[in-house]
Amino acid sequence: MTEMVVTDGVFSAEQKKQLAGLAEIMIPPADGMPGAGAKEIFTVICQRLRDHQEVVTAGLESLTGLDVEMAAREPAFREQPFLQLIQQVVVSSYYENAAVQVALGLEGRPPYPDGYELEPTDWRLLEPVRRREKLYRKV
Amino acid sequence: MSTERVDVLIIGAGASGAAVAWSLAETRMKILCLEQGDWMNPAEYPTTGMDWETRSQGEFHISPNVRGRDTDYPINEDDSPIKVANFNAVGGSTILYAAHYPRFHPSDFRVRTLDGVADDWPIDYETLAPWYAENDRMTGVAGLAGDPAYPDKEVPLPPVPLGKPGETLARGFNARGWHWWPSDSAIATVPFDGRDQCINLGHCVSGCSRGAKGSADITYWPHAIRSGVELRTRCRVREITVDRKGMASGVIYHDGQGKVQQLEAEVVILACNGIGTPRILLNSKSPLFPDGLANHSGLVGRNLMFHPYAWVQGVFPDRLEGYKGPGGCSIWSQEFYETGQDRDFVRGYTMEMTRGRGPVTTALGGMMSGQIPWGKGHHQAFREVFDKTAGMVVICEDLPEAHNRVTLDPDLVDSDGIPAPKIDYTLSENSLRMLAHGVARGEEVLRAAGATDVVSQSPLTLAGWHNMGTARMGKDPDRSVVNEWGRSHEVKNLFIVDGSIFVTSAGVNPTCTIQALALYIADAMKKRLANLFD
Repeated sequence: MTEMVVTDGVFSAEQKKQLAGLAEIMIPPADGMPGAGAKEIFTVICQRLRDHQEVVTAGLESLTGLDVEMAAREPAFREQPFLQLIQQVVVSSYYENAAVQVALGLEGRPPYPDGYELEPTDWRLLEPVRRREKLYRKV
Repeated sequence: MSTERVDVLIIGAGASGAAVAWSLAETRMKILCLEQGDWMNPAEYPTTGMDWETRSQGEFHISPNVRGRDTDYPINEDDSPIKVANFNAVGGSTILYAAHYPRFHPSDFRVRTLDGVADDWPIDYETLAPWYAENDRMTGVAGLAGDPAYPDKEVPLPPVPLGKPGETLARGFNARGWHWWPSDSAIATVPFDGRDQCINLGHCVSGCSRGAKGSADITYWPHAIRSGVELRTRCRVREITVDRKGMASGVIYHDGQGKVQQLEAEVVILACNGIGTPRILLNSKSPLFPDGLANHSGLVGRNLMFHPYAWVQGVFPDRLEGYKGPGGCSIWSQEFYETGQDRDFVRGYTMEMTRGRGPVTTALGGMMSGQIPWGKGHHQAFREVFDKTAGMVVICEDLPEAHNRVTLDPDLVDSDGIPAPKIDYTLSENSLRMLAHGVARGEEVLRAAGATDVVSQSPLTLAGWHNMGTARMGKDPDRSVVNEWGRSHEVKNLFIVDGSIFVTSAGVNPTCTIQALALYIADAMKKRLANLFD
């Protein structure tokens, strides 16, 4: 875990610590990439989970005392609805982060307004198709 | 309850409602369109923000049941393996469509004659050809003339660039000796009719922030409104009313404040797609029409056709920059479109290439399938697939079957308390065989293009974009709901112009044909104005 976590009025400090741990079990810092518990990313994760406080709280309680990293090796464990929710939020918050995208070789910006350039197509590729007879049935 | 009167009332401002409104505007009749959704603001589409992938799975989700906007209506689709995808707004589902814009083939109108299945259409390709052409000009269709899979036709705008995914797959098709061609796409590849040219934002299916995609709110509607058509949003029609002679007299609708309003009309035109149109007809019961309006044949809601879809994807060794360019429009193949004597199914399908997925979709898809693990190994596994995938969807012709249908759910209602539709749908053996054939051919071409780790899904669940056949056209009143120019057999001032009048579905996206039909029907109405109800 890369940052100290404190309560934000929705989740307790302990819950946030648990959540950050869970986020980094899913996406740890490695291979030159930050983990999902990094401050900027984790802040977004907490914001997005605010609307699911009850589900998250109950889910975190169910993990108390469990070796989550070990348990997560079982697909059935990962497929629990509350963990699917957290996975969805962790993954979206992580991969929508500009720094993460830059590390992946992207530009770290929304598609609009700049858009993207594409090379002109070499239509010589079509030559074999152009030489074909009409394919459609005449009626 | 206030009452006002118009000459022509159009219900629904989507693809077909927009086209028919524009065409009829020249009559100078008083034309009003009621739309249950809002005008969309392109500045609010997801691709304007970093969270575009998250928002496309929320408020811009293609399923009305997931999206749950208050402008949507719920659909009970528990008894269907294919779930409905749509959007309710000015422009309708074209707001979220991929902008694939293929025409039907001539054979699609003659399936009974050629293949002994379903029914022939009461019109043919030649009848629609001028309206296809006019619609292409109004919409701004990009493509390349000369496709051997079609009769000769003009294409107004240059094709979308293929990018690395398209070129890679094109080489695969060439290696197999199979047909491919740049997709006809409703995308302004150069500035067109006040629209900026496409800048390859990628995610057309959550709305085009640039305004390059030809959604009906920015193609037909500005012209229709300038010509005098009134468009009223947040107005949801509950039922079409009838007079004592069995003619449509107008509608009862809920306005934006939820107040019930009544409106009288000389002519009523339904343009609500293959789900919404039968829903309104079935909700319009009266002593004269106890089984729903215009339902003497019992065919309102029956013969629902989707296009069964399969998805095939491969992983390539190098990055493909698949996030650049229109996600759904690149190239298509119609090598297996026409019925083949050596196959175990009739009719056929189109393969439509797709570009890459965004990082969130890649990661979630990989984690759910087990390809991308939690913890150690996550980043490596992600890098092995991210931006290295390309593939296709296989879009199969669906044949009409009476048991596939739209009815009214006994319990489910929308936010105005109007009974919601229920879908009962089963995939036919013919469709299942066709899907299997398409997946196998998809795998072949992906491997020929250099892909490894080819995966597929068939049928795609959330792919019920195309809702057709539920109020079909025909010359026989016992076997169809509307005649060969869209007028109800029973209610002489009621017209239907959306995909519900399709007799068969073809194996291509239907929007181009829906709009061409709407223009054709509008023209038929204009030619008969003096005796429209005879």
